[in-house]
Amino acid sequence: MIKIIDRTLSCLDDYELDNDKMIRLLDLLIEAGADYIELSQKAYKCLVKLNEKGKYILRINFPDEINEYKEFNSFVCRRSDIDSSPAIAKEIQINDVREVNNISMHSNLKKIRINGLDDILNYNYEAAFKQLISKFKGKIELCPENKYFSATAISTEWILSGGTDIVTSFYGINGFAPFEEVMLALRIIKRYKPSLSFSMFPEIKSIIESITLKKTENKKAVIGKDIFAVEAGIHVNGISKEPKIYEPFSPDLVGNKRSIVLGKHSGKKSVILKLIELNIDYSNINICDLLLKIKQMSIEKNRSIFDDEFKMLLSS
Amino acid sequence: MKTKKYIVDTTLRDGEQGPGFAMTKEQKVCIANLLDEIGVYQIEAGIPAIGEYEIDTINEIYNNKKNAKISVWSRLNEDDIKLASKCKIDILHISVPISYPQIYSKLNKNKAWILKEINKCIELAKSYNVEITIGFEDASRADITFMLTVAEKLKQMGINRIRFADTVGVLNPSKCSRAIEDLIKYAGVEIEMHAHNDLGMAVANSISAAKSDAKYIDTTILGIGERAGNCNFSQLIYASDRIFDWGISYLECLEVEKIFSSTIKYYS
Repeated sequence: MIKIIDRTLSCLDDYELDNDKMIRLLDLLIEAGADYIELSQKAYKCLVKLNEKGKYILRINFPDEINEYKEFNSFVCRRSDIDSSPAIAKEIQINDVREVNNISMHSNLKKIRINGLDDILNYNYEAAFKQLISKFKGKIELCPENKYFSATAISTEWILSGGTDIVTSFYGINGFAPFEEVMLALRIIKRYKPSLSFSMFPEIKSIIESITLKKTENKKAVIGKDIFAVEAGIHVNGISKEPKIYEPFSPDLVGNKRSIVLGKHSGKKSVILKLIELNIDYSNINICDLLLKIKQMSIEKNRSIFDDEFKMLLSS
Repeated sequence: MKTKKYIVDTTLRDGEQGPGFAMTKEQKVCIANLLDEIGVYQIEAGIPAIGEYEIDTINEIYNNKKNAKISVWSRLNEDDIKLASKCKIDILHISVPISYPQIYSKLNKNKAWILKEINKCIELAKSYNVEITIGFEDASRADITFMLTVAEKLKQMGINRIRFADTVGVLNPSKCSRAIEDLIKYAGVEIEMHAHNDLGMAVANSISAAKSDAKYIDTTILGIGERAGNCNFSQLIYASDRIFDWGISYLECLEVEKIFSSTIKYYS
């Protein structure tokens, strides 16, 4: 059974935390399908009260700290050992695939969090995953790092190899597998649907941007503002017949909207659809001529053209 | 020893297709020169069917080239191929819709029609005396048996390289590996991997493809392209240059990115 542990809320300690934003963020991550929410102690203090629908893991610095947090059932800690409580997942770093063998050193532990493995796809990752699962009988929470831009793929392949627990962070904050990418990948590849919709993603993104003061890239997978803008005539034509031809998932699913953009690569269909969108009667418009003007203007301006520029072309 | 692999850069074609970009001839020639200088194997320069300005641009890129092969992208129709013949090129790439959504929903045709069109288009393209490569558009959602059938026919027609396109970016590494291994094993063709980043796996899928003996990998500068973009050139090199010989260093990629970002503006 797949379990997604999201550690976004334990990745924000470097920022000023606002109670309302953190509560809302927590609620939305649970709604989006995170099975467990990892909290830092700072985040927990900020939240004060936790959403009852959630399950929580607290990040602690020393095993003894669990005595201060009796309200939690699960913890993660770098410093735990065989004598520590079984409620603690020991966090270890594996940076080289050859170190996978060493997992048997920890075989007496009940649960383990493995960080790293960021370049494992360069090697026989399927064998490495099988080795981890066979040599460690307890629970493994895999937390791949994204240094080699492969954390989502590693997470997906871990699940396909028989792993169950994956650790993510929204937008891949602090260099982990991006929650939004892992959720969509598992939905498409494994039909894993803990949530019917991810329409809350834009709000989650917005809250994180307001906390970190860092803007999400416009073309970021799954949550980028511009990922459903389409200009190429071939694509517009295909999408107008059946969106699945050129869209891996519907914009609605992730709280976004499709938009037709006019420019150098547009075709006649794009022009007609834009005219319809703008409620313009095109019965007397020469679409071919108009398309030529659009392409010319696009090249002159070195970009796609905006709707008001398009309207100017119509009136000229 | 690291295996030699080849970059096919599609910044000037698939990259530019992403909304927000419209490069001038001068900008495209500049970018092409940069890519050529650092050792990119092939530059996909554009789509002749866009118009005369695009054809002029492609010819100018070809006139300025040093080592890179220059290719153009064409749909599976004779009009596009005739327009491609107006270009000075080394390679003509013909994109073949290969999945059922592409064949039935987009084109309203069937598999027999696709096979017939492939024959016609390749015969026409051969008359222009250029290398021809074929793209399997939406290969990641296509029936493997049909792909193998088409791949075998292509091989018989003298086509040696097939582009495996994950057009909507839904592949994962293990599925990618299996499909490419089958195509190489049963059809005996060379594979060029074309990944999209809709699920954040373009780099990973490209590495997986290369590990499965795909010889060519498509990339774009900064990963620009449709929706969430294509396989990011510098990220691919960074992530895999311990196991593959790309003939290009990560620092060179970063330099190209820097110049690209200062030359080309992205408007959202």
